[in-house]
Amino acid sequence: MILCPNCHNKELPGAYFCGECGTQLISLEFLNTRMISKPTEDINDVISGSNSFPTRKVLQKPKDPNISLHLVESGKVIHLSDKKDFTLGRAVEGQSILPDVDLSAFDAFSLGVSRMHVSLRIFNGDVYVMDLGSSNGTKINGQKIVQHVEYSISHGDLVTLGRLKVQVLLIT
Amino acid sequence: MKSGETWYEILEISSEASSEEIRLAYFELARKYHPDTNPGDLAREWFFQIQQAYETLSDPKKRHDYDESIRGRKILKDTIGITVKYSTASIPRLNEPQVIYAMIEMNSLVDLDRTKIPQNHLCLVIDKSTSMKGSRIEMVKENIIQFVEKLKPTDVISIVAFNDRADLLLSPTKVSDINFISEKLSAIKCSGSTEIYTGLKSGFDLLWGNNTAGVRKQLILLTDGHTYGDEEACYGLAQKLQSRGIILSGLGIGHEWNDDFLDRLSGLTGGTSTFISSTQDLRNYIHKLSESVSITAAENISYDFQSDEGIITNYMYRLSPDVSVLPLEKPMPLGEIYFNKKSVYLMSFTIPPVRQKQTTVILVKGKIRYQPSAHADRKMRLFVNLALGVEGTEPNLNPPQEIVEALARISVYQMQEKANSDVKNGDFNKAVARLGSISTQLFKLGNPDMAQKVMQEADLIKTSGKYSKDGDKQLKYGTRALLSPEIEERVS
Repeated sequence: MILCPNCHNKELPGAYFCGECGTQLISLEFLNTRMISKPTEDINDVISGSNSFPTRKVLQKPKDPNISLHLVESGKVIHLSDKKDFTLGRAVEGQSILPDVDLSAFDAFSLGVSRMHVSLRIFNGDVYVMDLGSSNGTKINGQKIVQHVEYSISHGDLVTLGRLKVQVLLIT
Repeated sequence: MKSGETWYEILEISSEASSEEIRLAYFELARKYHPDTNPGDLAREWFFQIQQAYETLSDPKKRHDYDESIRGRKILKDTIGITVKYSTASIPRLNEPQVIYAMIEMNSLVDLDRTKIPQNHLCLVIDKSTSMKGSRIEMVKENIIQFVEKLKPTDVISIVAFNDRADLLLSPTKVSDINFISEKLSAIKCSGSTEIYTGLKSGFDLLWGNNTAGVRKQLILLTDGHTYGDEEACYGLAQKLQSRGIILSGLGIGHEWNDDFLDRLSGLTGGTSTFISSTQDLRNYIHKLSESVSITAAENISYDFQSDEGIITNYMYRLSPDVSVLPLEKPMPLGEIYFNKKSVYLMSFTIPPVRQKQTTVILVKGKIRYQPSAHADRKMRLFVNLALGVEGTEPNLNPPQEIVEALARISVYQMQEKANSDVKNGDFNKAVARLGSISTQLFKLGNPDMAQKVMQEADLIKTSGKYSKDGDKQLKYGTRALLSPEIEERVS
């Protein structure tokens, strides 16, 4: 049996997608995952000891990190639950499909965050960001990313949704 | 024996057939024409011919001599080719059930010969119940005229208009007689209720009653309503159409028609159902149809197969040239193959725990039958087995890209089906949660418009427990259309 990391539905071995929530159950190179190189200037690190990036060998299944989001302007930190797949965006009144992480409390509307702006996915110890077709786009460390393509991110990377700056903190 | 017929043609095989294929073809035909089950001189004569054919072709020396004797004669070779990709190169030895996917691609091995395009007979079966009155029937009339103008002058069209009874509006008429056709069309008056069987039966009689060999026949049903109580009779008729190589395409107009019914009805013949929500949809359909009639390379294709014990065929979708959910019938109708265009199918199997000492798993063993369009009186068959060796103990985590991409879209389509039944069962919270997953996946697949539409529908379900008027059909046919790899090409 395979357990869907997102909704804990059981699938048979050989299945590649969860039948309940559609989450992809394998990691594949050809799915357009791109790397963004870290910029030279330092990003404001709020977690101590985060400067050491462990070089990982994927011999054993790496442990999945916990994600926290550091809202740079307000200084607030949101800790994400133990799900493996999140959407970030802005909830609108009367709307029944909501993003997993609602950023409206952080001026999301005026900063140009779309209702479903990006997804964050944790897989085999790595974290991926994908812009879901937002109106104002997404940047990783200042570099604009292509929509509907997953980018691998590291601890401390700055993800900008529209003009809202979010620093992604990964704790393993 | 028909004049000029060779032993190969008697056994309905290509001149390149292997000895195993010859043997299988012989056993199948011998059973079919055995005098014990088929009294009468004709069957006995056939049986005798089959025996002789097998006697010659099963003996390598005799076959060689025979091949020499017919050298230079035109014998039909296989005109379609098949390639199969699997989700895994071998089946891991697991002591629990597992899922395996196979992608089947078929293409024509010969090029289009414009001198050999068969004549078409298209029979349109049009719903003229009260609800069709006004803009719907006018849209149909207008588009039929445009369609007729695109056909070859020698093609033939016939029209049945039905409500609770069927009227033969136009007996088979050459499309060059366009004034006559449009005169007849304009005479349609809408009234009464919808009884699809009566309309289909007249259409069937028209097509089959005019049984001119070599004519390619198609039935197109246009309806906007439910039919009540005659569904089974309709399915029976669809099977008759299939056995005669006639494809039924179902067009549902507006929001009140029964999509599950039309899916199965058309699927039984290898055809598809199409959702017509606007004139543009009908125009697009007509455009595709008028193109397809001249590029068919093979028709009346069906797959007759068996699987190893315990293997379940979960589903089979046709992804190209048009998307269709194929009914799991045996034999399974596969539709048609076009020149210069691949037909792509995806099958999913669940296999039981691998037995000790088992070294191969036969997912499917069987034959695909078809008629080459340029030789409509010829039947051909290809032996197609899907089988994999048993090796290793880990499922394959690196499947072919095409299969994963197809499955990503299939999973969205199937979640939509589940959300539909959640709504039908009154489980609205579950439906809304599921639509949430669908919209996220649609965003990820790069379909923000459809993702937005899904969100709107989720809002409606949450507040009213219902989709919008035709929301369920828009999502169903919208997510289904995504299964076609062509969409991908157009977008990128």
